[in-house]
Amino acid sequence: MKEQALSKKTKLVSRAKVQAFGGFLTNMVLPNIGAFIAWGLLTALFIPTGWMPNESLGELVGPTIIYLLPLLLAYSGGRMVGGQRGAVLGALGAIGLIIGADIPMFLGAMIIGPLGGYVMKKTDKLLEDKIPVGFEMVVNNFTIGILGFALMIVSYLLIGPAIEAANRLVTNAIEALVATGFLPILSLVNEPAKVLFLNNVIDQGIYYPLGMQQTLEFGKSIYFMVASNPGPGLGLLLAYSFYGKKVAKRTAPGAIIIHFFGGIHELYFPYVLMKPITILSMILGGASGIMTFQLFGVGLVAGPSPGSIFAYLALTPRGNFIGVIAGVLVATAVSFFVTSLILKADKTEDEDDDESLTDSIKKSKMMKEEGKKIGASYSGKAISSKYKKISFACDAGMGSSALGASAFKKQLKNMGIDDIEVKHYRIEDVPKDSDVVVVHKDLAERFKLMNDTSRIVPIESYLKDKELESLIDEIKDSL
Amino acid sequence: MGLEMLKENIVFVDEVDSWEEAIKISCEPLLNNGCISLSYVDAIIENVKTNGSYFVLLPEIALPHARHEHGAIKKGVSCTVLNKRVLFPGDKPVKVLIAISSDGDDGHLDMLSEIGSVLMEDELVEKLKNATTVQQVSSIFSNNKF
Repeated sequence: MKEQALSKKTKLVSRAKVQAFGGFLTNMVLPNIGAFIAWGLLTALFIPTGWMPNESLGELVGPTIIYLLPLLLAYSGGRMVGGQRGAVLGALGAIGLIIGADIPMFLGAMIIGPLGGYVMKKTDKLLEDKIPVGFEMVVNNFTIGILGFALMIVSYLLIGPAIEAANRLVTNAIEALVATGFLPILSLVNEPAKVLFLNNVIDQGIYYPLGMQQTLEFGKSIYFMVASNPGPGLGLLLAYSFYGKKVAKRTAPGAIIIHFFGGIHELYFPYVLMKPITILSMILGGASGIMTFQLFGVGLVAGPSPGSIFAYLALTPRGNFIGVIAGVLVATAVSFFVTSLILKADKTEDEDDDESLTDSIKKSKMMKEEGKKIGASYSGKAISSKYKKISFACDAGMGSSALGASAFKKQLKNMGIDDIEVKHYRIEDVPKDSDVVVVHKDLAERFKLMNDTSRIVPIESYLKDKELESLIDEIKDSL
Repeated sequence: MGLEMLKENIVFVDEVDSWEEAIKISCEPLLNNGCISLSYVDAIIENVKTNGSYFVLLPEIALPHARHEHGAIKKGVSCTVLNKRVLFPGDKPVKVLIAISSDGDDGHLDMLSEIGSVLMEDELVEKLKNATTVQQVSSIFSNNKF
């Protein structure tokens, strides 16, 4: 995946690679955070153990997390690598995974999506120039069709056994760790497994049965808390709220409400997936929480579901409140601290290396734009700009200006903008109602004599020019 | 589509005395193919003298052309690669000249758009500047359809 995220032509230092890869994950996840929030609200409210149980509305919960969310991730990932066609192929591959597995396939979707995009890009490259004129549509559609068909089957056939193996591995690992008697070590398995959406497997499959046995004997059990503590997730999201970047920073507070009070832990998973190193904070947070619970000798009387702070407090036996609250707080503090360190370290790195890393910065800028574009189209916002008519002018009106207009149009199209009219004219033919007129600076004076109403962007090169870049930026910002 | 005639019109020149000569050389294939008449060449040179070297689109890359009614007959394109750069007015060095002509309709736009997609790729532009064979130049333009 790393290879796809980066332009292969540029050799980057390894740190830059890691950064670009991180940016890639972030941009795959971030545009879809809204969908996670929608699903979180739905789940917190309407599942049988939710706050306003509602059987019919609750039916939305399952299909949304099983189908929609992974498909969105795969689609975004495919689109980042292989454009619109890559997105389609990525989604097709993901549906194979989804049907083949019985747990939400987030990680799988984040791999197969970009893979689909990559396959699409390579195939298109291979076929270009070889398609007879007039057959482009047919060939283009059938390549997606046939590749998608194959990718669906392959991912379907591979995923079942892979998931089974992962489940077995996690179960065995946890049983071995429980046998050691040192419970904080469980976080080593719990936290990665949770983020991979194996949380129900471990909670309902292992910890809750263990907990129920203990409860029969002692009236409470710590096993109900080893993987369901909302503290580590809270700490992570708090850290993002303070030290995160842009969109992540802005969305984290909303996610906190749904995660901590609503008990839907899935809300913080994307934030870990977009910066996988933060799994460290989750493990340390989880482990310190378990340690605190053990120190106080506390437990819960039943499995908290959803794992909200309210459910925790409701299930805390008398006399255990201080210990339970302390465990949650300690876990929050530790995870907050570690995540903050990670996020801050990341920032300084960005600043230090900007000379040797211009490539990777350029790349991540591109990714950001891509994310923005995807974000805009997902939020249903109509893409439009304050400019409707941009005219390129030169003396002859057939060469330089035509080339400039065509290149500019292409750039806009890549950004998903197609409602701006970009045309080329001879200087004297430029329509008076043009919003912007792009003209070589040597010709600008002559142009002003004829038209003084339009905004003039004087340039030195019709193809590559700072002024053209800032015009593009301006259009982008006005979306 | 649109660029297939380029293959026949690729020229390599070691050195020219002036930018005017460079333009004349770059127009020769178009003259021979009947795409333009002699007056078009003069119009291009006039164009530079009055309007400046605005058709030097990128460093070292020029796109000589003029208004079609000044002697263009039909759609045409040629590519001239100079071994030694020549200075255009405004101190603009030029190494590659892509001369174009059109009959006044928009028939040449697909060809321009293909030239544009090559010129937007820094790597291809570098290759073009350093090309030494017809094969190299024509593969730069033909392998890069978007």
